Amino acid sequence: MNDMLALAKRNVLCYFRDRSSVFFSLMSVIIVILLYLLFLRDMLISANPPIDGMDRLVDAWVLSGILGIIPVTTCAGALQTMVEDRVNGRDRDVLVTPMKASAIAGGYIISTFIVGMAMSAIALVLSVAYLGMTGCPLSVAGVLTTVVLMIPSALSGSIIMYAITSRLRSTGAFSGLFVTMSVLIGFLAGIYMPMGTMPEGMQIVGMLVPASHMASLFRQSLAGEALNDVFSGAPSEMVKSFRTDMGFDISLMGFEFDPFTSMVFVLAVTALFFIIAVMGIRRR
Amino acid sequence: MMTAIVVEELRKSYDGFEAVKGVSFTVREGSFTAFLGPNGAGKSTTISIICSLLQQDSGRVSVFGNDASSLESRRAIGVVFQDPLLDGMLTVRENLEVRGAMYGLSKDELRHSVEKALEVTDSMEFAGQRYRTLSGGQRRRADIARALVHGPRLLILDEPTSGLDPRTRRTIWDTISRLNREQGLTVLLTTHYMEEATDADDVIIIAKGEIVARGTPAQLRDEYCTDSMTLVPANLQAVERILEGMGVAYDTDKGVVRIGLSRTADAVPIISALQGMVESLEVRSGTLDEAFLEITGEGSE
Repeated sequence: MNDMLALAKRNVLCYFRDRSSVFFSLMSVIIVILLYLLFLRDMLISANPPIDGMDRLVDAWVLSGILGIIPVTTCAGALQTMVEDRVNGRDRDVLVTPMKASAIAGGYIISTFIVGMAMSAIALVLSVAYLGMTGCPLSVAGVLTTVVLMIPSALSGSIIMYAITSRLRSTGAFSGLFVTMSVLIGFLAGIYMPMGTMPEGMQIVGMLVPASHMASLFRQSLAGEALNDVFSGAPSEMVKSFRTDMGFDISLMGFEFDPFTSMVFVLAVTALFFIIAVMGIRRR
Repeated sequence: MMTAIVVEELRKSYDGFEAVKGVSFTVREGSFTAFLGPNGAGKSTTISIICSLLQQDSGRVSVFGNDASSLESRRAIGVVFQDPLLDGMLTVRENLEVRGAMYGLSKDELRHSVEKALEVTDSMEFAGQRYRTLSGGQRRRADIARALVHGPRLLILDEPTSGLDPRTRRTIWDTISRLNREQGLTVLLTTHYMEEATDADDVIIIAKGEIVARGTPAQLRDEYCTDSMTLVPANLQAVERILEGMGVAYDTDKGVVRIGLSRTADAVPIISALQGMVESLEVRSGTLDEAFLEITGEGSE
């Protein structure tokens, strides 16, 4: 256990002392938020019924969606250490120790998790500050739930991205993969465009991505209050179709996920990738 | 006395290239053993298998009686790699603490062993500096401290002095031999400088994936070194007549006569017979460097 934490500590130190990598991780968060404010916001608001408070609901909707994908888009910096270790042969210094393969994987995952949590926390603080300033309805319970949800979100993001990148042997492949993943995940999880506007096939693929489920859970916890506020007294049919189109409620081939089953799905997929990750660490 | 390393019939190929072709040797506990060979001879492959970084195709490697792939074996070994592997953004002390913890040391053990490793390698004065700000010699010291942080019984160094200036090379070398003599650490190091191997207790010479010679430096010198005498004759024909009369084999090149000797003392009767016929002469002991080139077949190329 100590060995795993020592490796994690080392990775986190290497990451945070390299100021440029921290800066670019933060940039990726800030760019997505700016992208939304400058381009997507008006389009999304006008696409929905002109109810009072719709703009604030859409704000809360997009920010909670972004929270769902942040662990995926920001773990590049932390995982970069791992790929560089391998490319430079620096992993030999770890492989000669009596550390088990699972502990080595665990060390890299924990550090990625910590970075994902830190970045999610920064994004959450910025989001809550923005929503609070613009007068979006928020509840303390909802924000606290969001904080708790950040844990499984960062955990699944770091494990899955670790497993995907743990076999790469070049930094070029790594950054290429990351750019692709970061763009793709935003669309698959319905962050930039609502789920309901995507073709059915894409929706099915999107539902298989754990980040979509996390985004849905974040929408419920962080934008739930705004949703209730905007649709108070509205016909239940209308609320239901909005919830489905905007990815508050998600379903896969007729199966409707609730928060519990979504969580089970996320954790099951994460566990699967953890096994893949551990199997990936074999001595050459 | 126990053997530190036993290697039996070790083989390893990469993509059809046979890097190590059935190598066997032992390293005595407490010895200072040099593993000598030209680049690409299979040294690093063998070392990597001993450190469990590579899996052999066949053969057996044990370290203090444990299979090289076992956790006990990894705990018993401290490795200094050829290239610097510590983290540039971390201080030397942080690097050691992190590495020590990877060997499962507790906080208290760690504090004690990090200080000890810094001390025996004279790394105390730059322990608080980031690794990337260190000079080449300081880095090497820190690398050795890293290798010692978990208290290994066997120290393996892969070309520890490569890329260092002669003075720094000397001090690193002194540190390593002190660890061997004073701390009783078994040392196995690879080098392609014969000159470095002369300080070792045992020398194992590897070339093209096979062991071509082994022994103490003195044994190797006796066995493989050839002494010689070269002379510039005042009158070449007169000298040649006398040498032929004595039955001495020689060859001439641009007016210089070269005579092979089995030992330098054999030069004395030849010199006295050539009294007054020689302008200058030199008698040379063969060096281990020449022997090494001879043994590994590099000399003829």
